[in-house]
Amino acid sequence: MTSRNFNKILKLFDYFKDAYRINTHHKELYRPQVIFILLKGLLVFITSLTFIRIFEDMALLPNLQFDKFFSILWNEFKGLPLMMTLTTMVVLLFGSTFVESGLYHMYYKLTTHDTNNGHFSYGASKYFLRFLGANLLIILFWLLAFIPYLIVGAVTLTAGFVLLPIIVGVFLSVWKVSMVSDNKSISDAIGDSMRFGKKHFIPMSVLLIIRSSLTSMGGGSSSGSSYQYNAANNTGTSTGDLDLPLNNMPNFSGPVESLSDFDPIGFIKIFLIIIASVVSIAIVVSALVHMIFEVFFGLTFTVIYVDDWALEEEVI
Amino acid sequence: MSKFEQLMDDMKQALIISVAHKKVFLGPIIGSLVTNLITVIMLVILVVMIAGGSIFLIIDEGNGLIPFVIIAVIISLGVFALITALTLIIEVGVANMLKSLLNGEPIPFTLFWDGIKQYFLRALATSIGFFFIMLFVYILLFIPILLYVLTVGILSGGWAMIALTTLTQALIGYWLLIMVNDDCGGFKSIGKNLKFGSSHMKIMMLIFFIQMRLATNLSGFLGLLGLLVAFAIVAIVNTYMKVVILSTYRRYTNTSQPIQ
Repeated sequence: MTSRNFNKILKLFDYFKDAYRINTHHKELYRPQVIFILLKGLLVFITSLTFIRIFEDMALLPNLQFDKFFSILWNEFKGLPLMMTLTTMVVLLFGSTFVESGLYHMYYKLTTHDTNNGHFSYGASKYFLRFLGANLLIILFWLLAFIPYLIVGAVTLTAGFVLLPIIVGVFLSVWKVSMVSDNKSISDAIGDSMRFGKKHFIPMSVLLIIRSSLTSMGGGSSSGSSYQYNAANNTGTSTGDLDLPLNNMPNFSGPVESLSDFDPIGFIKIFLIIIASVVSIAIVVSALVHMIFEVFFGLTFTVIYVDDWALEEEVI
Repeated sequence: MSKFEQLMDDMKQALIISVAHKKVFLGPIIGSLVTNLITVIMLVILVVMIAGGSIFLIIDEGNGLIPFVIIAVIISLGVFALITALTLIIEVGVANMLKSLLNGEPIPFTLFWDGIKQYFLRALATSIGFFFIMLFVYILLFIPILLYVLTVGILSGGWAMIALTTLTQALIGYWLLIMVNDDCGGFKSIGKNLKFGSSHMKIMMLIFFIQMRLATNLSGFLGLLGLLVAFAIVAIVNTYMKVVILSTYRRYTNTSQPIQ
């Protein structure tokens, strides 16, 4: 590593300080994300509830009959659960992009101390479509790159599985800031980000590795810099009418007097509702923790982009 | 300046002096390699004994399961004691080097041996005593900890477990560094650790969080190759973070000036 790159890595600590300072003085940065996370948790919970009906029908199958299994599964899934699943996915995709576009606008305005139109809604309405387009392009890129990605990952003894996203991340990490800074188009912003990544490849890689190390634990991401949907988000069904299992709860008004009164399906339902609640809460809490990191690193990227990693002093 | 900003300054300076004095990493890397090798060898022996069936032969010849379990427990404790002793040797040697490093003095490798000679027995005695105290504490707190894991731990998606781990480390995780730095008794250093950890809890938790995440995840970036060099990466991260911890401790206790 050259001394110039090492000095850039050292400067990362100063950028962290700047990001922290902005972060602590502007708590409003968290408001849009908190609202979105709560909405996300609620959607996940409702979607999970719609899936309980499917589990109930599966449990009633006498044996594992695959022909019936799949037909029942599809019949149950194509109603409300499918609708809720799609709704959740659409809200997550659009919602996270909406929040992200507004937030990056705020990051940039706060970093440059520009008080004109620095509020969230202004940025969200101005940049939402461009953010969405760029995010879809990146998803498309990963879909096309999936097979080569698998091959490279296997050839490099799995190192490629982790390193490739980081290398791609280096080139794509500042397009959001670039877009909001000069009102750039998608292609200009991505091009600018690639130039920036090439210019500061080593220190950017270090920053991305640090970010990835600190935030790599499971759980939902708070907004949409990545499109990693939690497995729990992909739950959700019923036969079309809104008879959520909450309406079919077993009657607990009196004690169970004999084994014939025991309703296993009712207990499975309660168990599944508890699981759905626990998963939803875990997703919300994890996303709230992730949010802190996302705001912090989002600000760090913005500060770095604005400063263009300028070195005033060479330490080594 | 906030504590976070001071921490960033300390981390920056720690990186500069760590890179300038790479020899501080040598002892931890060798120690980590040896302890990992011992663990791997013991696991291989166990697997070979199970696969070859000789373990069952020993059980039969030893007149049943109970004598075998006793022997297994003794061997496990022996290996545990060996690894602990080796770790302590490295820790006190490195801590002595780091102390001189942060004092701005030269760090010849003899400091490593001096540290072992001066502090190893003290550290060993304290570790044994502390082990039994912690065992007692964990038995006492077993039910609350279990409840915490099953409720808050699950509901937080695992983050509460990380918080509990880093809290524990903030309170009792660097008494050995304090012992060497302040040249005090083992249990006195634990007391100092508890006092310092409780008065600077947030920043120490953050330091241990960073250490834990980097040590755990960095080797993962190298794929399967990472498994082979994980011992070195963990040793390097932990040693670098020791410089940071010691700098933070010195900064807030005024035992000496923070690193320049």
